Amino acid sequence: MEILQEFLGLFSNVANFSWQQGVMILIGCVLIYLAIKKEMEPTLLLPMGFGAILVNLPFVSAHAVETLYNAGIANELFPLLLFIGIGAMIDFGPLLSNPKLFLFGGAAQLGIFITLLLARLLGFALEDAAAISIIGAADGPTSIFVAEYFKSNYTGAIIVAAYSYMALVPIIQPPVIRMMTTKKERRIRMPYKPAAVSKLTRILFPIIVTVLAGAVAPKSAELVGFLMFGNLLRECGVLKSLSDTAQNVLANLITLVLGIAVAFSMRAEGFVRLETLVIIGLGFFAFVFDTIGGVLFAKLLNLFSRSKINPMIGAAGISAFPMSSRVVHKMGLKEDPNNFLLMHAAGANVSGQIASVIAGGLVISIVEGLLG
Amino acid sequence: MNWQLLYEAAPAEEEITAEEGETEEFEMEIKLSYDTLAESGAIMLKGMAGIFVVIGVIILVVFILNAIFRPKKEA
Repeated sequence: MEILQEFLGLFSNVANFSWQQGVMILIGCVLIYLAIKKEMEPTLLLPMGFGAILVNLPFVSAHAVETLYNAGIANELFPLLLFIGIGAMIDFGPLLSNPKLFLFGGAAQLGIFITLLLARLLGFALEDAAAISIIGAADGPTSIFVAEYFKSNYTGAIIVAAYSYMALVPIIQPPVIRMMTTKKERRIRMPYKPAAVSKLTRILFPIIVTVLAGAVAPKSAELVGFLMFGNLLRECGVLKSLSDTAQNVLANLITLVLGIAVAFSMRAEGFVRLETLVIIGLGFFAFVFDTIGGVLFAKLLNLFSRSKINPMIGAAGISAFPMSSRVVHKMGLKEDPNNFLLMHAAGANVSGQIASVIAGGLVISIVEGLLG
Repeated sequence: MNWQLLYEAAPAEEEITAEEGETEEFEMEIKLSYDTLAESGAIMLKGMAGIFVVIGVIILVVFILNAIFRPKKEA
């Protein structure tokens, strides 16, 4: 009998499960399912899902996860290192050959500020509203950076929302684009005639953008700088091994530890609350208004431009690269099988990467100024 | 840590306690504050203007770079 009691005592921890921990473990399982079965951002959602399960087991100390969190998330280091890899992956060629596409990247950040307004209306404190609004940047590292900068109470929800909605871009954007455009507008053809871009321009571009961003929005300097450093590794032509390392080993390694470290902010006591649902709802609005902002701006430009722009290109200005450009390209082909919008959409999409980082820095600067 | 963001603040004279078996229910309060609207609107204007200013300068710089450093045409 004593042996039986001792044996049953090994499983006594099962009784310490709270319903909130159960919910978080279920959420972890859902994230893993989405990652594997639906292939939605698997590089992030799978580690996050597994980490969520790990940190929500009763009386599990999760010291290692906490250490990773403090080592790279709390001090914003991991997102910056990840940006080196992202910068090394990006080809700014289509954008440099048609610089006007930068404008769509800017317009597609509208969702950030609309979401900030909505979050404030719903009663969130200014710093939390700013952290929540950056879901609209459609960029994981930027979202993590800004949320941690403001020491937001909702970092876990913000990151889950940001990465989940980035994966849902193929579902969110098409109905919004169809709602905002006519069939005739979606059929506008845009022949691709790229201007040649010199190697020197490709090398000077990341340096100049870093200096500019630092001068105008100092808080974005680190974000922009690391992104541009990665791009410079790619474009300089003499550091192929470093560029390859940044694109592959570094990006994969940081993504792996970042995913599991982020899970530390997904503990039940901080995650299972009404605000999490509200934040997930606000994230949806952020992406919708990003798309609306980009499309409306393209339509505005068409009022003054001789050569018409397909308004769907504006929707590609969000930072969810390369999904958004593929969505726009597919929608264009569906309307007109001879209308190839991919390179224009890719240019706008890449400009969104820069614009979102600048937006993140500006949000930090403006809100910090208001907080005093 | 401010936990009263969305919840109705409990009045000081009443203490809401959950007895065993009961759950506490909180109402989500949506505060439509003109001050909040004005402040958020100002942030939106400044933010979007700032983004377009930076992007405008970047576009100008790229045009200049493309004009100065044209790729050499093959003979």
